[in-house]
Amino acid sequence: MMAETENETFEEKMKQLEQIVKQLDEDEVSLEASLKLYQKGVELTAECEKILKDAELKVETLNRKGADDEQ
Amino acid sequence: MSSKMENSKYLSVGALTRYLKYKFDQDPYLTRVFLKGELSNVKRHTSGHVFFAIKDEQSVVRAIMFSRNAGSLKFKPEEGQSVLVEGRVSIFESSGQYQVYVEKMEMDGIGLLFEKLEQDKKQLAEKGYFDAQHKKPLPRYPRTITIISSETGAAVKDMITTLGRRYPLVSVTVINTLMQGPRSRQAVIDNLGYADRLENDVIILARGGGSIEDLWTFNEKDVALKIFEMSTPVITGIGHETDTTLVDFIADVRAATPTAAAEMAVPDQQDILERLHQSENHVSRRLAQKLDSSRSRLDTLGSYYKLKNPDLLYDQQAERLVNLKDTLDDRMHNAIKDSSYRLSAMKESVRYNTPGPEIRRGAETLMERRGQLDRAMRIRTGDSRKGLVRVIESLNSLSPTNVLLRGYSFTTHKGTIVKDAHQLELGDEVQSTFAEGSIVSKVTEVNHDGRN
Repeated sequence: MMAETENETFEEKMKQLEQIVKQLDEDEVSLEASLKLYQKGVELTAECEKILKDAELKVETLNRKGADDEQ
Repeated sequence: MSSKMENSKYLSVGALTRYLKYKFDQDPYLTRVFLKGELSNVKRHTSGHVFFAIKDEQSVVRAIMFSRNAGSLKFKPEEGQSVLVEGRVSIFESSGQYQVYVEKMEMDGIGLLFEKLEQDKKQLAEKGYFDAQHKKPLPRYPRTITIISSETGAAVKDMITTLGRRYPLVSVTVINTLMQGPRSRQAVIDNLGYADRLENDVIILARGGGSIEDLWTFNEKDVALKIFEMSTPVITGIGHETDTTLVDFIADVRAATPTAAAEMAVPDQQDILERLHQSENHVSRRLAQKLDSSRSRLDTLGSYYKLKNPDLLYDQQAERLVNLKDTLDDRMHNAIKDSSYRLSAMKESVRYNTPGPEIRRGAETLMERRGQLDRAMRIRTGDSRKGLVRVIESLNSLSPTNVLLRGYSFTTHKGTIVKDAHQLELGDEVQSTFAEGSIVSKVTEVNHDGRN
């Protein structure tokens, strides 16, 4: 339904990004893990931006029987 | 016209009033009037009569409803209500004022509807239909939205524009639906059910402003109950800001207008982009902080004097090792010396305490005792042997062989020794055994005399 680089929805990416920000705020995360999180975070940000930029509203109109025969 | 008028051209007030009252009461149009207007100045007398005025934009007329008629009212008359009234017009003589004597009164069309709406609203509220616990949460990032609205209305275009501007990721299904008129109630209910089955993330039920009659579909209890039973979250945006319909109370989210409904359905991409940049900055800052703090920790640790001068790490230990080794040597030396002293002392002591003479003495005693034992044993065995010979001799003297040797014999019958002649009968075979050999004989006579 949207430009997806991977098989994840926009919402999943956003959630992942929020998770990463939260994890990076925790002091227990090792430096190695932080670097990986950072990399993933930057990737996700770029992906989300691209998805929004490329998105175009899709509209479909359904005329059900008897829907518009009056008024 | 009474004859009084000829006497005087002046009428009494009472006469005029009576005359007018007569005219009113005779008039076929005034004895049965149907009047519509708005109630005002309603007063309920303790007697049960209701006094009020009926007005419209132009005029006001006083009215009274006697208790015998007021008892059958289906509603409580209140200020501002639109009513339909049936009665007659007459004059109240003592005040000279004309008024409507109301026999029947009911609420006017839309007023009646409002009355029912208030009842429905109250009932649904009491039963908890509007409670927050029933409100379904909206997804933060909906992927699909169903709009139930009329394609011909401006509301649909407004909503699509808003959705496209705010969150173009979403895909929209518009179900073109009759949103007003007598057939719209069923159309809306049907299409709500259809929209629910589409299983999109959110449903927007919206239409633009209109007259109260136009919007009435959304005050219908059936429509509200349909929304209540839906499993998809529903946002309503009916009419203008000032219009609140029954469905607005029961919807999961109520928006003031269709455009507001579209705004509530999706996040704004500007906000998302801002958040994305914020989180990117935040993440970068956090990482930089982590790197800084890691580096400074590394610096602190790297400059630790023992790492700078590693000899310090083992100097102490080397010295201790030397000391320990010396101590160990000393201790070992002393221990060996102690042990050899103790060994020679023990040797000496063993030599003094050797048991040789005692062993010899013991051996002599042993030899002596053994001689004594042998002698004693010999004496005992000699005695015993003599005793034994005596016993054997006396045994021999009792032996049946010896008895037989003296000339006796013994007789058996069927293996049993015969001791009594009664044991035998004539003709029995008996065996008699002698010192040497035996015979078998037959009994020819049995004597029972007492001789044994």
